[in-house]
Amino acid sequence: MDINLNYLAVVFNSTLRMMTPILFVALGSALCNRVFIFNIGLEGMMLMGAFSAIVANFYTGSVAVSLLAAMLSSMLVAYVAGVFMVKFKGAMLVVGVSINSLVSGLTTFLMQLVFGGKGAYVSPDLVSLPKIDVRFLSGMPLLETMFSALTYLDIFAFVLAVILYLFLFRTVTGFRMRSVGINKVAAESLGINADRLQIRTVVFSGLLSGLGGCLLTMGGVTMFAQNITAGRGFIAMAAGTLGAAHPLGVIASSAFFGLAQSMANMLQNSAISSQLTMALPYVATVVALALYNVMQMKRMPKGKA
Amino acid sequence: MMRSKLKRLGEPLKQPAIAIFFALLVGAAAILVTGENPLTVYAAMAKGAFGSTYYLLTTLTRATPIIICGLGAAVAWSSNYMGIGGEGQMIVGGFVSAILALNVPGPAWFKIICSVVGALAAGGLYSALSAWLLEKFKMSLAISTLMFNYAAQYITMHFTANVFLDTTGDAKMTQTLMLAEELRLPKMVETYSLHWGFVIAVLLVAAIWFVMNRTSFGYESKMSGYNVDFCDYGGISSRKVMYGMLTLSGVICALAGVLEVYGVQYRYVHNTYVSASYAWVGLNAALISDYNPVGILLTSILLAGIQTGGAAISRATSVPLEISSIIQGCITLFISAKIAFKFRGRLLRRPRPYGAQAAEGEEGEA
Amino acid sequence: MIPEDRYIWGSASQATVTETGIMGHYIQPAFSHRGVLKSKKIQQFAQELIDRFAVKTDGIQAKTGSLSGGNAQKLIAAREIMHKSPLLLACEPTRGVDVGAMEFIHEQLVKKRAAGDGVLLISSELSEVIKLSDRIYVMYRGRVNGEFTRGHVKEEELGLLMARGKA
Repeated sequence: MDINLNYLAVVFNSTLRMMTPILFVALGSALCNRVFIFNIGLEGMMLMGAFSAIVANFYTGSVAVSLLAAMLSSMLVAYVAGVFMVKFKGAMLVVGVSINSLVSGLTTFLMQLVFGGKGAYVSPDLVSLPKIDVRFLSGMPLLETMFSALTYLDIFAFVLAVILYLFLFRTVTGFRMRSVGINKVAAESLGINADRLQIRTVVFSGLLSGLGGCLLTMGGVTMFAQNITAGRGFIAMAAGTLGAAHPLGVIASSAFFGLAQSMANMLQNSAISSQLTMALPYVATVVALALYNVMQMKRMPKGKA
Repeated sequence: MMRSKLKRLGEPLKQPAIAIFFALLVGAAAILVTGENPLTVYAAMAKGAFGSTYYLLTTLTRATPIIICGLGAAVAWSSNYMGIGGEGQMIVGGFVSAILALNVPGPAWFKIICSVVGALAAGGLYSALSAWLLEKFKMSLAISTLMFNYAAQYITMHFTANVFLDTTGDAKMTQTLMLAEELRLPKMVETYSLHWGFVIAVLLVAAIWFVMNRTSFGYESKMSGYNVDFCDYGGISSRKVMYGMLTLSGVICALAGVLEVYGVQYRYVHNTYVSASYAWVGLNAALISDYNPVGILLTSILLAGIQTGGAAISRATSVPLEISSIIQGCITLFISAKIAFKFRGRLLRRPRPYGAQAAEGEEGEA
Repeated sequence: MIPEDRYIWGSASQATVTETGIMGHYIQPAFSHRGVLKSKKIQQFAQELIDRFAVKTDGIQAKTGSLSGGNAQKLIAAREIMHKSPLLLACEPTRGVDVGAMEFIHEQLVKKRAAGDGVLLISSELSEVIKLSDRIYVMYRGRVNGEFTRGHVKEEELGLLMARGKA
C-alpha cells in the first residue's frame, strides 16, 4: 500500500461516493435546524427511501420508478413525523426515535414478506443508477480515477447544495424559513404560517433523505440489507450541525465524514483492526463537533454562541 | 377520598392505554397485509408471551434488561437530559464485567466485586463523558451519546474478537470465554431462563422510586426537569444535577449489561444487546410510562411480552417478528401526541434544560 | 425572596403544590436528613402553607399550574415568609394579582415587619410602595436619587424622580 498519487485519487473518489448519501440527508437536517426542528427521524426516513427504492426496483426494474418510490415513501414518513412534531407538539426527540424504531421494524417486516429473507437482498436483476461515463478523461488517468463510478445523483447532491444555499439566503421564502427558526412567535406575528412551513421543511428533508437512501442502495452495490443505513442518518445530522446548517458548510462537513468512512474501508485491509476503523467516523464526529464549538467560542468572546 | 385517589391513579394510565390501543390497530393492519387474522395472531401472541410457564419466564428474562435500561433512561429524561446512550452504556457494562471477571485474580467474591464495580464505573464514566461534552462544548446529548453507542459497539467488538476471543469450541461467534461456575447468577427456577437478575431489577424499581420521590437529590432532579430557572432561583446546582443524573443513568444501564453477562450468557457476546434492542425498548418503556418507575416495570414486561409473543408467532405463522417493533414504535409515537394535550392549556413558559440554551431541549437546534 | 415572575422563577407549573412550596426549605434538618426527605413533615408544611395563606387549590397534590395567578403568588409569598429569615426581598409581589390576594399579601408583609424582620419591597406600583413603606428609596438609572420617610411622601416629587431623575 504505497501512498502515491493514484492512492490519493482512489481516496478522493471513495470519499465522493461515500459522502453523497450523507450530503443529501445532511442538507435535510440543516434545513430542519434552520426552522428549529431537531429532526432525529432522518435515519428512519433515509432507511425508508433506501428500502422503497429496492422494492420498486424489484418490481419494475426502472430507475425512475425507484427514485420516485424512494422520495414519496420517505416524504410520507416525514409528513407523519412533521405532523406529530408540529401539530401535536410531540417532543421532537421522542417522535424521531419512535419513527426510527417504526421504520426499522417496518422495513425488516416488509423485507421478509417481499424478499422472503431478512439478512440482505442482492439480485442480478436489480438495476443500479446509471454511472457517468468518464472515458473522455482517459487521457488523464488520475482524473479518471477520481471521478469514476459516479452517478448523476452524486453530482446532483452538490448542485442541490448550491441551490439550497441560494434559496436560503437569497429568496423571500428562505428568509421566512430562517426567521421561523430564529423566533417562531415573532415570525407568526408577521403573518407567516410557521406551522405549515415547519411541516413542509420536514417533508422536504424527508424527500432529501429518501434520495440519500436511494443513492445508498442503488449507487454502488445495488442491494438492501436490514438497517443498511447503520447510523448514516445520525452522522448526517452531525454533518448538518458541523456545517452550521449552511448548505456550503454542509458540503465540507459531509466530505469530512465521507473521508472518515472511506478511510475506515480502506484501512480494513491493513494492520489496523477493521473494527477500530469502523469506530473511526463516530469518534471523529464527536471530536470534530467539539473542535467546531471551540472555534465558535473563540469567535464570540463575550457571551454565548 | 378513595374515589379521588383511584381517579388519580387511573389518570396516568389513560394516555398509554389509548396509545396502546391505536398501536394495536396499526399492528392489526400490518398483520392483515400478511394475510393472517389479527385476532388469532394477537391471541397467539398473548399466549406466546404469558401463556405457559416457559413463555412467561422467558418474557420476564427478556424484561429484565429492558426494565433496567428504562429506569436509566427515565432518570436522565425526567431531568430533561435526553440522552440515547443506554445501548452503549449497557455494552460497556457487560463487556467490562466479563473481562474483569475472567481476568482478575483472587477468590470468587473478589472477582465479582471488582467486575461489577468496574463495569458500573465504566458505564457511569461513559455517560459522564457525554455530560462533560454538553457542558464544555454545548454538544447535544443526543448526538454525543449516539456516536458513543456506535463507538462502544465497534471498540468492544475489536477487543472481543482480537484479544479476548473464545477460541475453544466450534462456535465461530465473537464472544469471550465463559465465567466460572461459581460466579454465575443462579436461576430462579430450575431449567428455565429466569435468573435472580429479575429480582434485582424489581428492587431497582423500588430504589429508583425512592430516590426520585424521597430524596433531596431526586427532588432537585425532578424540579430541574420541570423548570431550570426555578431551580436556579432556589439555589439548586443544575450542574450537579446534570452530572449526577447522567452518571447515574450510565451506571444503571451498565448494570443491565452486567446482569445479562452474569445471568443469561455467562460471557460477553458481541451484538446480542444491539440485536435485541434492549436499551431502545427500555427507552420506549420509560417514555410510555412518563418516567414512573412502577409504570416502567409494567410497561417493560408488556413490551417484552410483545417481543416474545412476536417471536412465537413468527415461528407459527407467516408474520415476521418485527411486528413487535412496529407495534412498539407506534405506541411511543402515539404517546408523544398525547403529551400535546397536556400542554395545550398551559400558557406558562417551557422549562429550559441546563447547559442547553442553543444545544438542545424539547424544541432545540442540533 | 419573592421573585418578580412567579412562573419563570417562582414555581414550576408541573410540580405539585407541595413541591413548589418546599423549594428552599427541603435542605433544612426539619425536612430532610442526610439527603432523605421527611415526606410527612413536608406534606404537613405544605398544608400549613395553603391553610394559613388561604391559597385556593384542590389540595397539596394539585399541580401548581392549576392555581390562579393570585393563588400561585400567595403560595410563593407564603413559602418565602415562612422561611422566617430576618430579611425578606419582595420583588413586584402583587403584579398581576387580584385585589383580594393583593390585600392579603400586603397584610403579610406588614405582619412580618411587625414581627421585627426587615422587608425590602421592590415595586413599580406607587400606591403599594407608599402604602406599605416606612422608608422609600427611589432609583433612577441604577442610582438612588431620592429618599422619603412615611408621612413625608410627596407623590409628585416621587413620580418625577422615578421617571426623570430629578424633581
